[in-house]
Amino acid sequence: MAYCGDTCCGDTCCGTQPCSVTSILGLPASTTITGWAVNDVLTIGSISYINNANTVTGGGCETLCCAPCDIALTVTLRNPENGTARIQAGCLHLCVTGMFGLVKIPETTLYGYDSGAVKQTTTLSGSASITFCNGIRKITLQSIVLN
Amino acid sequence: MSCCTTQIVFPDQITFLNTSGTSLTNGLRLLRIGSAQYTLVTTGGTTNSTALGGGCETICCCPCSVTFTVSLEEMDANGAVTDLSSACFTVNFMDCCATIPTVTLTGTAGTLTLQGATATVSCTKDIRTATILGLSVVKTVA
Repeated sequence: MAYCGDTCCGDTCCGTQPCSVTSILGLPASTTITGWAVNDVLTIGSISYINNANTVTGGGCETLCCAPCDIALTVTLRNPENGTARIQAGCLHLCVTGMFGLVKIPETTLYGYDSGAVKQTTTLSGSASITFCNGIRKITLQSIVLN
Repeated sequence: MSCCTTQIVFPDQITFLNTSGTSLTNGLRLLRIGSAQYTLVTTGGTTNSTALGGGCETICCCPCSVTFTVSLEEMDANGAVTDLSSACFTVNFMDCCATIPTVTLTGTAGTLTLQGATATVSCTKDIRTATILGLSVVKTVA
């Protein structure tokens, strides 16, 4: 297990807590994403999905070393228009304090502009499960809802 | 080996400063910095433009140098990608300060410099957060 260093900021030091090796796994194959449009591409961290004729394909995983709480992942939703990939983007903060159970993916607002420079927003939410085995914490995405 | 959980937060907006007098941003498809992504609000042609997007990263590093790949894709009128250039975007940490060197991207559309960025750094008990500010792109060679 890796430990934080002694980097200090004023009278507050980073580095008093160990980092946990954490694996993030994409949605299980049997689950779907609701609330998105055909041909949308959703990316969470390095995990991507595409809605091809209402069939979701994609997935992936990544490994982080992080403090017990607050994993930050980039979320983007791409809407190809007229040959130019317009995107909405945001930052998902996943706060994980335990080693087991379900956690709610907090509502995360993505925003961007369409080809007419009109602001577009989408809200992402969902859930994830946590397991812990052999020193590695696994976070598996369970459901994703776009509104 | 020690490491510190560090979050990098990229800005929601990047300014494209066009000093070349030629079209910089028409056809720009995506600018990526790590997992953060940006696209243009308008196709600014020879004037300054704004790209919107954003993102964040969670990494674990010592007082350290964090690198991300930065890449630019442009597209012609037929939808074909005409330019794909990439370089390394680096954030250097020293205690709770961060410095961000300029980055040059060289591709078929010219040379672009990613510059002007600063970062504010905050520390909690467990997490160091660097929020990047003031990022701009300048085209220096037509």
